[in-house]
Amino acid sequence: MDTNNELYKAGLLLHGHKCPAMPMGLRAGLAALEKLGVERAKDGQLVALIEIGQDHCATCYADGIQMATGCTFGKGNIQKLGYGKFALTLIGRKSGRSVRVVTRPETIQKNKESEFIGFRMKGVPASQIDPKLVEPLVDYILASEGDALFQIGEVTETKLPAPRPHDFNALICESCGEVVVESYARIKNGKINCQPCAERI
Amino acid sequence: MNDKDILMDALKFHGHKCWASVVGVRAGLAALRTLGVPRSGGTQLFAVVETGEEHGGMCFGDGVQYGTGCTFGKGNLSKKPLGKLAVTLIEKDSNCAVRVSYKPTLRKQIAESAFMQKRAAGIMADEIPEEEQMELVNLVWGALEDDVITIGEVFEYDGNWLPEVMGFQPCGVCGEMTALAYLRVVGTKQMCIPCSGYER
Repeated sequence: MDTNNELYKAGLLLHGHKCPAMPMGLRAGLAALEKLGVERAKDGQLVALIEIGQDHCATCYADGIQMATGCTFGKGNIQKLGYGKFALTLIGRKSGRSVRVVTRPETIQKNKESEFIGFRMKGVPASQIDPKLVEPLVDYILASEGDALFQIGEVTETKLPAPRPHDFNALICESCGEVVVESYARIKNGKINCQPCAERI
Repeated sequence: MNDKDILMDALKFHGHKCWASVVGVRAGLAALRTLGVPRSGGTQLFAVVETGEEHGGMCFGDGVQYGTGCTFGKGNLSKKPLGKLAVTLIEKDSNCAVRVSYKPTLRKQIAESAFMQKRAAGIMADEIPEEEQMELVNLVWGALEDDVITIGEVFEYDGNWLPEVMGFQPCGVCGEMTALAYLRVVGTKQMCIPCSGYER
């Protein structure tokens, strides 16, 4: 794979800047799909559990996962476990078949030695670093074999709790007039309210 | 890139075509315009969306992600789960913010569409015929902005922005790379959270 790859280009559009972590997530997501022998989730067919946390380097990894697997923030089938680790467990919702793909320390070490990370360590945001410094890192991630970048686990079974049926009932808050999902609405003085209005009045 | 291209790319990313993603894109683009800022290539902007879990219309969040460039991966996107289709977009440097919410003018038309009838009957969005998906997309995309969203006044957001913690270290037990702020100490060893046995 190289930077002319359609999925990489789509990932870049979503993500907004060039960095090595987004393509790393892209490759991890693709490796997991391949191992399970499944397609990108158009809806909620797959669930992605990712081990990154908040406010640490290379969380951009998650945008690559979103683009590759179709497990997205909006659809609600992706979740951060908050371990500060670059690992993905992809699970088939119906089958329960799952695989964990973890980035090899050498892959991360390789980035660490680059001039790009030198700037990042000084606190310069990725979007403000000369793209030329990051391109070799991106090329490396895209061109390497999946097994070289990641340790790809065996397919195992992961039992997810049965999904709650989606609530399609929407109400109008009698205070602010905005739409609120029924299960999130509250009753205050006998009237239907959204939570902020219920707390305010 | 024109707005319709952004919409179509957003829907491709999302995986299926639905009305709530379209509302999200429109809300996101309107918020950018109101603040007079470009899409967030880095983490210059922060978005707080008010959708919750397991309800219709959650897809709004993907429209906001794509429209504003505030993404799950960059971490400049969060949920305040109120079961509402609304987003507050904040420019972090100035703390200038605007809240944009879904306006239910088209509610009846959306609910009566073939697409929504099937969704409510439990059919996955991507199993609904393409033309029925596009019918609803075009209804929401083609409507007047004032019939789809309400744009609030620009206000000052009480932002408390944390800096990034850089660097990694292999866990002393499993050897997997762990972000420094997530290493835990057990006796003389430093390890990742799952190996440490701590909850967080």
